[in-house]
Amino acid sequence: MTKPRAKSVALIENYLPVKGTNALVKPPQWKRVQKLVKEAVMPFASLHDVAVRSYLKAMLLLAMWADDNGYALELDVVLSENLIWAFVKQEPFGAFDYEPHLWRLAAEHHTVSAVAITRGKIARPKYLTPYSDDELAKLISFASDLTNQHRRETLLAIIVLGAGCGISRHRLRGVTAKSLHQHVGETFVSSFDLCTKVETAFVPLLVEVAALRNEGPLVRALGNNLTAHAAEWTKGLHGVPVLSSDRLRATYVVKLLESGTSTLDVLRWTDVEKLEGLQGYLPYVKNQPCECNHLRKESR
Amino acid sequence: MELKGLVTEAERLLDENGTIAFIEGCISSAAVKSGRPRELSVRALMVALQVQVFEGRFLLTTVPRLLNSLDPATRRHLGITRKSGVTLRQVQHLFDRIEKTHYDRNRADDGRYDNLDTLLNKVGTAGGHKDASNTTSIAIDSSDIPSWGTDRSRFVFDAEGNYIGNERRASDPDAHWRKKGLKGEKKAFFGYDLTAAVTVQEEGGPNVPRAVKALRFRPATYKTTAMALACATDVAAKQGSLGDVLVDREYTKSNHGRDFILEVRKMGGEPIFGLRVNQVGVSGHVRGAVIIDGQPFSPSLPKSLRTIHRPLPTDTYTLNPDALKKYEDQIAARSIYALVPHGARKANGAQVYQCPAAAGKLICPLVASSQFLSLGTMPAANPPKVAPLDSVCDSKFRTFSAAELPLSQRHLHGSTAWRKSYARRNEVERLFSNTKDQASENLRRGSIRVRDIVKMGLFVALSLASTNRRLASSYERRRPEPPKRGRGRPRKHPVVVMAETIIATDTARTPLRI
Repeated sequence: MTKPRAKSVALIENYLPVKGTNALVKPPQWKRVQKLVKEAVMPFASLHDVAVRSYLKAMLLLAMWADDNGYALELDVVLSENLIWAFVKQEPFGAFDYEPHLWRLAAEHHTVSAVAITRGKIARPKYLTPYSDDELAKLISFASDLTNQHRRETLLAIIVLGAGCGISRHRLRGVTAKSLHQHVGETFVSSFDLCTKVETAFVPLLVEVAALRNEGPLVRALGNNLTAHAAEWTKGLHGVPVLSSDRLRATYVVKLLESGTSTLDVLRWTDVEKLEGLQGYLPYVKNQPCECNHLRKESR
Repeated sequence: MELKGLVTEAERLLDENGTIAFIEGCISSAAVKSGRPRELSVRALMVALQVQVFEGRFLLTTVPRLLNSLDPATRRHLGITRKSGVTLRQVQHLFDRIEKTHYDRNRADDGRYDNLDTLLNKVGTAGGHKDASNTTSIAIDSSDIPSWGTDRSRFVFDAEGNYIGNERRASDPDAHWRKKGLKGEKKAFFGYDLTAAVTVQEEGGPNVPRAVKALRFRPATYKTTAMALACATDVAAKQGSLGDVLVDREYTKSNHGRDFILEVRKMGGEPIFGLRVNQVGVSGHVRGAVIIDGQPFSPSLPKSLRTIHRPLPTDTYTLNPDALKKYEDQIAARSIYALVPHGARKANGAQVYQCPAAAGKLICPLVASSQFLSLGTMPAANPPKVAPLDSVCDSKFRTFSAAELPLSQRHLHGSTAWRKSYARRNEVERLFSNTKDQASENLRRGSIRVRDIVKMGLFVALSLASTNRRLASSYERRRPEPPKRGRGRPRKHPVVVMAETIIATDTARTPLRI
């Protein structure tokens, strides 16, 4: 860790979650857990205070739960692998978004093994996981079966622009029916300053969506966040994956990489500035086995 | 309902368990009385009393008027032969005969109550709905029945007018005093205890009508626990099996459980009960297991979870649902350390328990297999370093005898499941409330103005039969009728018809596929 930030150190030292109408913890319990919470988070004082706040909350909830269940309030007990897993799986305080923070805290204090950390959520952000073919088919099937015309067209447009063109969330508004064009026999879509190639399998569907919404943007305004609203329609349905524009884009990027598209084209079409930006997608790219006859003979 | 209908209904109730025949048998088996034959039949008297009780009246003085107002055919049917009508003297005479032939006050042993118990059970358990036999579970409790009689002291003076002491004069020779509770939660009264076993639904089972299955009527404070056990024994004998037996803290006073809990288990019943304040918390160790609230727990249980204070409602403070939830959450947190019952209880009451780590509830360093439990399983907070010999940590399974864990029960005391199961006990309280309701049977002090255990008991039993009948008809009204079988083809829902039409006509709306 680098040098601690004075603001972050002050935040940790003066952290007092017992105040306010929606206080996280009651004073008697805070008295019991505060030493542990501050001790656990102090090594992260080099981070920005906004980030530190997440670590504080994650550690506080874990410590409160451990206290409620009678565990000793010691770092090696509370940040042990089994206890973190039990806490994460049981979700005693409802949906818990700070699992990576807990694993990082555990790693920092060496209370869990390296193998255990890789089993946790710390390894890979979920949003880079592409949809499988089966998931994508179910999503498209669900969208096309919707009886509400507005929802059907919007959801299909988001899916086809995300998984078929890799259009990111903030560029969706820029795509209209007139954005479809061709370069040397290949279909392309433009959005603002970006021109991206359409995955061949998605071309018929994109053409159909463009025909349905031939005026104005293909994805019409649904509030501040275009995709979050549409994602709500897919939540809690049996057999239908939840819509995620990041995962749709990941599907497009991984398909491009698997198809052997040149790196320059991938960078250009996906609007990724540096090669490091593609690193997160690489674990999902399936490498084709080398079919070189020479190698095969040698291996025999 | 008309008087004739009420008479028919009363006869049905009295004939259901052969009450008339039993009373006639007791009277005839007693010493033969000289004089002319009795002109008022037992049937006529009992029917008249039952009809009066239907309307909340418990007086003998109105019986002649009621019987004399019946039409000649009904009177003949009831065995009233006297042409000049029934007199109060005849009624009182027969009532006294019943009292004398069913109870011998001069006997000291419990056998003196035999005839009385049989009579009251025959009368009081009649009238229940037939669906009441769909359950084997019962709730048992007792209720105060104040006597109309009094028990007062008076100063006694000798012939010269000197005070020589106090003399007690009880106008009811069988009633007894019950003192008020220590904290004033119960009032003192002079009278009797009515102990009743009432049907309750099985855990997770269908609703069943409330009905009295057995009862005991005794002077106040007379062997209350034994009376509850007698009720349970009666029910077990009548049904052939016994399900859950729900009782309150009054019946689990003894920590050894030999007076009630173990006896119920011997009959095949499963007692579900509340604990007294002194029984809650850690009560010791058996084979290394920590005994809390009567249940065995793993020694790895953290100390902070060993004593959980139960929030109690008071006169001025209704229990806060949040406080109750917090308490039950703590009980749930502790429950993972509870030893898990393995299989059914043995015939001798012994129960095999499994270590919670071996059962997959905890990750414990002493149980190798628990290291491979799924992610998210709770680790033991305070596991022992070594497993002592002949302890619960030494083996996956340990058998505890019935006497070792007398206060154990199916659910952990205080848990949500226990609360829901124990709430079924309210049925017996509702029955007492129903019987004492002014709008129905009105069984309260002043309604019954006879004094002694048989006469009082008979009226109480008649009122229970009336309550049973009323609850049965109420259940019958509330019960949803079974769906009638329709004729012809099954009707299609309009939405289905519409969908079929659209599918048949709109071929263009096929789902888009890539």
